[in-house]
Amino acid sequence: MRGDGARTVDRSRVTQRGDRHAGSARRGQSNLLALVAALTLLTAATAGSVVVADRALSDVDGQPARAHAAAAVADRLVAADSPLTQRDRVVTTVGAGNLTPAAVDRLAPAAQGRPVRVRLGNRTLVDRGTARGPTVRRVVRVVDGTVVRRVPLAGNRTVTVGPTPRVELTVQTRRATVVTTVRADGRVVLHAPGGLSGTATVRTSPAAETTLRVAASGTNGSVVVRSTPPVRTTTLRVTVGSRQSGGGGAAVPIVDGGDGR
Amino acid sequence: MTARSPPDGRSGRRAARQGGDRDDGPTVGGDRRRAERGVVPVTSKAAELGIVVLYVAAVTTALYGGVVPDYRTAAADATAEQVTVRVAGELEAAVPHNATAVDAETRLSLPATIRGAAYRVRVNGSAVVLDHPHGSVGERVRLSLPDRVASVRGGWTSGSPLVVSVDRRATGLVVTVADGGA
Repeated sequence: MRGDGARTVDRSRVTQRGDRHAGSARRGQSNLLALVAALTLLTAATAGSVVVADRALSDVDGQPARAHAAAAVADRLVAADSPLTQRDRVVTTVGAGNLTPAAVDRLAPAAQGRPVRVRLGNRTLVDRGTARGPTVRRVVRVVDGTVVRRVPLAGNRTVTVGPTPRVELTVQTRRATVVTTVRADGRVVLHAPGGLSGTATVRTSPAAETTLRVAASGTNGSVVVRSTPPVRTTTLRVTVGSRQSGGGGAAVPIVDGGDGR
Repeated sequence: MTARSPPDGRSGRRAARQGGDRDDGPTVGGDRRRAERGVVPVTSKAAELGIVVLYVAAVTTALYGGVVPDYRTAAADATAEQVTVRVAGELEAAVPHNATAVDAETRLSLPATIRGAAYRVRVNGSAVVLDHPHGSVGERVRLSLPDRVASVRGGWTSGSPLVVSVDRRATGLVVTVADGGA
């Protein structure tokens, strides 16, 4: 009873004086708030650094293998024994046109099961899947090979050849038909009133296309035009993406490692 | 002002209070207000300490129980990939572009351990395989070699330099991976 009384009085006194106890309680709560805020910040910083580490690691994951595969494909494509090339680093247009994803896999097994994109200059030779990864470049020379065109005298007797320093003409006529004149862009380059025969070489522009026009006395026969476009330099770009994982990317190397034992 | 007599306890304390003196010496055991005033900071500090200790324990457990070993394994796997790719690249580069008469040897320095353990790199004809004691660490890179290479073989255990040698045989070039000795 006495204690109660004391308490009542005491409380009234405290409220009157008002400072010390209330202040201490407030201080205690503000301490707690500060602690909660600090722990929250710490948690956020920890979680944030884990996320950053995760991103950094996922960026680097598979990168060396992709770069290696791309370099392997590029090196094997420009090698002398590649179906693409005539010699080391000399690519033929025909070979480039015949390149298939299967051929790439056969040449460079590192690219098997991966998206691959091979580009020669502006031309895409192989595009399998969406290859996202490092691009390996190789400077190559491109030869187009000899282009053979037959100009029948029964037709319009003109042919346009690409930029090339020279073309070779072979006249093939039968019966009374003779080829008298050949003009390149209107300029007379070959002329024989009695008729041309055999093979002749004609200089043309290496920078622009040339239109050859044949004048003949009849329609039996043809003129065969052989031209060799000049060698040009371009870039072979190979991009190889990550292997398509059927189920669980991490399991792939282990399974593969197991079957090789 | 005798502190001993019960009826005067209040007045005595009041007098002490009014005097503005907080520490007024030995008092009656029943002064609960005073006792609480002493306890409140202690309990709140203890609670704060407890929360911090629990928090640190929880974060440590979460990091070292799961996150750190996972990252260690992931980083080890990335390193294994780099090592394997490096060996594969070296094997491919060891084969000359346009020659069959070759006897060449290349030494390669590689990490002695990955994830704190020794590992092994072997070649099984068409691929470079890295074997590691940890189950989740390993890599396999397929080799892209020209036809004039008859076979690729050998193995290497980490700790010494890796030696890649290319020899000419009747059937073609033979590429061998071996330990380089100490």
